[in-house]
Amino acid sequence: MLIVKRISWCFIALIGVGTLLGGCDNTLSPFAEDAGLYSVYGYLSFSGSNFIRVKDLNTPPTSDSSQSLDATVRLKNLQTGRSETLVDSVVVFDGVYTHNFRMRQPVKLGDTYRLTVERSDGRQAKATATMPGGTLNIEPPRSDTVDCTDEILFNFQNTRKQSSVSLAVAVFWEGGIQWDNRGIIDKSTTLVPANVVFQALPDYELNSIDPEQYCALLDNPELRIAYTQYGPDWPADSVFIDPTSSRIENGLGVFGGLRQDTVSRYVDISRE
Amino acid sequence: MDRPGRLVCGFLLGLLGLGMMPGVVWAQDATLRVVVTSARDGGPLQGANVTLAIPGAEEPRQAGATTHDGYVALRDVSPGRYTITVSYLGFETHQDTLRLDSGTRVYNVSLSVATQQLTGLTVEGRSAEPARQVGLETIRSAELSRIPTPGPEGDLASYLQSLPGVVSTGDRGGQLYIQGGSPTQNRYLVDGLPVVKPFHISSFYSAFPQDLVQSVDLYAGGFGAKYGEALSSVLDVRLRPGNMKQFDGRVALGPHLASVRVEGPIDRGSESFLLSTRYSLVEQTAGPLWGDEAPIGFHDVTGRYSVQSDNYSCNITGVRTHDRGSLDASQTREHSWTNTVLGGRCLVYEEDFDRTFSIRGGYSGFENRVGSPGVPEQVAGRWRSYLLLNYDEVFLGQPIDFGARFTVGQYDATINEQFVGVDRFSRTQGMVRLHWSMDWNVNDYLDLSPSFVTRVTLDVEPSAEPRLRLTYQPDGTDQQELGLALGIYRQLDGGLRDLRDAGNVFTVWRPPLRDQPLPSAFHGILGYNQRFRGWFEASVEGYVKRLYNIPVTRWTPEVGLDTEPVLADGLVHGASAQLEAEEGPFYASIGYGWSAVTYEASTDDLGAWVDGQIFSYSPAHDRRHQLNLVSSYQWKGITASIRWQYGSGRPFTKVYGYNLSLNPTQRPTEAPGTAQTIYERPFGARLPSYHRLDFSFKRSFILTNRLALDVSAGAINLYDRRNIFYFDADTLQRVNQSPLFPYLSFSLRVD
Repeated sequence: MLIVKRISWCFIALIGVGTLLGGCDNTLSPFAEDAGLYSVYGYLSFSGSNFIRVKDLNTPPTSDSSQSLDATVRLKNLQTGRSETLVDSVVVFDGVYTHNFRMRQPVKLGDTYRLTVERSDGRQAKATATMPGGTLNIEPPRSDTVDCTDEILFNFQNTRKQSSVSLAVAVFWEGGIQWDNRGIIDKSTTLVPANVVFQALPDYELNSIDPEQYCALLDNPELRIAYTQYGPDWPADSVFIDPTSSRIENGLGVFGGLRQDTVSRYVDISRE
Repeated sequence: MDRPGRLVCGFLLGLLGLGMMPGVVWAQDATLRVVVTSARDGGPLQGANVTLAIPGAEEPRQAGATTHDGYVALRDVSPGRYTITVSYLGFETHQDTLRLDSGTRVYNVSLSVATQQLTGLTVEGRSAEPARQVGLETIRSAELSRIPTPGPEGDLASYLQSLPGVVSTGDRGGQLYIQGGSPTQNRYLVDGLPVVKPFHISSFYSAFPQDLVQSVDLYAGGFGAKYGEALSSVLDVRLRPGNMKQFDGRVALGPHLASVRVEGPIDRGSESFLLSTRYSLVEQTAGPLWGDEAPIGFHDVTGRYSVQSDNYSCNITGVRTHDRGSLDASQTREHSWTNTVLGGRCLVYEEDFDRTFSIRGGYSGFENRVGSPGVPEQVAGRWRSYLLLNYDEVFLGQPIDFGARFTVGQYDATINEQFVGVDRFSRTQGMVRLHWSMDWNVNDYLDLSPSFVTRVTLDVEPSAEPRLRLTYQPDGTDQQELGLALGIYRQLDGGLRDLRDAGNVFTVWRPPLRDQPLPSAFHGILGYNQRFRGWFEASVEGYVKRLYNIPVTRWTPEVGLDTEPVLADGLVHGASAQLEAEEGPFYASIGYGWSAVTYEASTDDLGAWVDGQIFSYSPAHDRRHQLNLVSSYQWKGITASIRWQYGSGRPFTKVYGYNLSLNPTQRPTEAPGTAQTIYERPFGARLPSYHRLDFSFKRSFILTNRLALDVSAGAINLYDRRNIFYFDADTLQRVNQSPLFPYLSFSLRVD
């Protein structure tokens, strides 16, 4: 029985030591508090009101605490120095509270804006957006009607190198509008109406028709061109797949400037 | 497969074919097949020592230990007169003189319970075989009662968690990780029938209560070719047959569950049945008794028919389990899973046959669901039917086991993710698997067990898996043993689970795609075991497992499960030591385990937010240090047991933030956005350490000649440690494991 007593004491000692070593510290810090503060989604454009959504990253979207937001949102034009504190507009989607801040000052071509989102403890998330600049030149001018196989030159001038443009072209056919999405293009590109018709009417048998006659199939002569010109610091495509690779300091999301517009040119749709 | 690989494969397959040549018989000597059963209940006795000696001689000519069928074959015996001795601790030793002629003879022995056992406490006989060999732990039914369990009886699940190298991520969810292997890399067998998830949602319990278990082999690694379709470990559970001599049973009630067992002879001495069912009560009792909600429930039903004759033994086994409940405190998500297993096995050792052979067939189905309570959004399952043929042969004087397994499997999954869409797949797969294994007794000191597996399917390249187990006994006895196990392992399918979310145990099983390599592993285990003076045993073991092409989930920012897996490689290495003392009524064991688990995969594939091309991480079950102390003592009819467990903190992934993502040109006031949970560096932090003390007292009261009342009282988590289970990122709640949990349970036993 001596050995039993010895082992028993040994056990008691081990449990005691183990419990002490295991420790009473049982706290857990589940958030990477120092890493992310806010997500920011929004863009500055020349058309309509500009809203920027700000979300506290440490609050689940469906929690009650998401109804209010501990943030002061400021926007400053770095060229003019004009600064404003944005006002929150709460929009609820299926019980999810979103905080969207409206910008009041007008945006200017080529200017850079800094967005600052500050928490009550002074910590900030920051992002900058530069508006695209330059001028758009389209040849021939709006007053001219072009033939179906003529070229239309679409050209941005005096823009920064990093600036990019996405383009979509539409024609009217069988009572509807048919779009040909060109995606991101060079700052200068050439549009041929016959090619646009060929791309926009994918299921239509055009091979037996002379390209010069393609435009005769259209309902009306309008060739609609929708473009979006992005600012030079508009994020790369990867940010849309991986939101964490954004350029928001102490946060994530997308913040940029862009110019959107739709222009029209006219083609000859008469049959020869 | 490259050319040398094909050559090796061809050679080994040729060897297999050679073994299958009919009529190749080397032995002109006698073969004695011995079947040992208990006179008490007619059940087979595993691990009984059988020796054959010339009358008057001290040294036996042949010796062996019975398998779980109570069967052992002594081969190459010169014809003549012999004294056969059959011994098993706790039973009277049987001795007889018999004459052996050339050919085969079957000898049945029924051992009577030893007289001192009838008058004292019933202690199950301890096998002559060592409980621990390299990579292998053999567990007897009686050992399960040493672990305090919240009643009414011991359970394999609680016992396993006291072994070094077995990691549980929490006391709910039924997830056990064995020597670095995830639950889907482990294979669970009940009487040879695969069961996908036998552990209940309350991790104290499994489908294997002490009352039903005869013995368990836990191969943490390095298992032979007899076992397939597992990358990491095998848990081989053998249920006992029903009592073939008399009817008996048990009714038990505790705060966690109620159970009923009945068994008895159908044809006395040769046929029996056993039926057991358990139903959890904790959902009803937790609130009133402890003030904590426990929204979990489970039940299981096990049935067994057994027949034992002079020339064969057969059994039919059916197991059905069902679990349901929420692992998270907010109860916003309900899991459920169901196992259905039905199959049979016959072992034929008829004298007229040169060989013994066994045939096994059955069905195993598993389905799991998760979703809002009452509305499952994700459903996945795996269903398999199979036929297994085994027979043994003698090749160059050594026994070889040959086996062929035919399997048809079906995999289905429907994943309906909010914001992401619906993902469905359905696959059917057939497989033929061939294996051989040899037990080569080189001399008194050295045993070699080479084995080999190959498998053929319609859409996956054939595989070759050579394996070797080696044991060296320096003094020619099992008092000390050095063991080595090496092998290559492949698994036809893999299980996918969102490892970021410990509160979600939903798993999708799927076979690899046509152009994907099979998950595979290499095991290397070296172990040493020493027994001292018959009451003290020490063992140490070191192991390494290299894993290849392990399916893991992508780190998508959207909440949910992507069923297209990413393939990762892994390294598991570690060591364990166990000291065990058993002297009369006293038992104590100390087990320590150290291990490290590392996975790595292409950063681009994983989608992890980290730098570098390859991302290396330690998954959630990487518990580095583990210490288990177990002790029990019997005094004046009372058995007191304690267990203390310590585990260092497991890795977890911190939350970077909750996002509502918008497409870049969506207007914030017009679109709600897509909910995303953005995680920090995967598994970049560790949870606090875990420790817990459990104890129990048990006492039996004899009411009548055949009726007894067992009373068990105790407590789980005696010092009420707030051990964390996981952090619920959806509700921002810390989910803890069981608090202090006192219990009192009763069991009325007829035997």
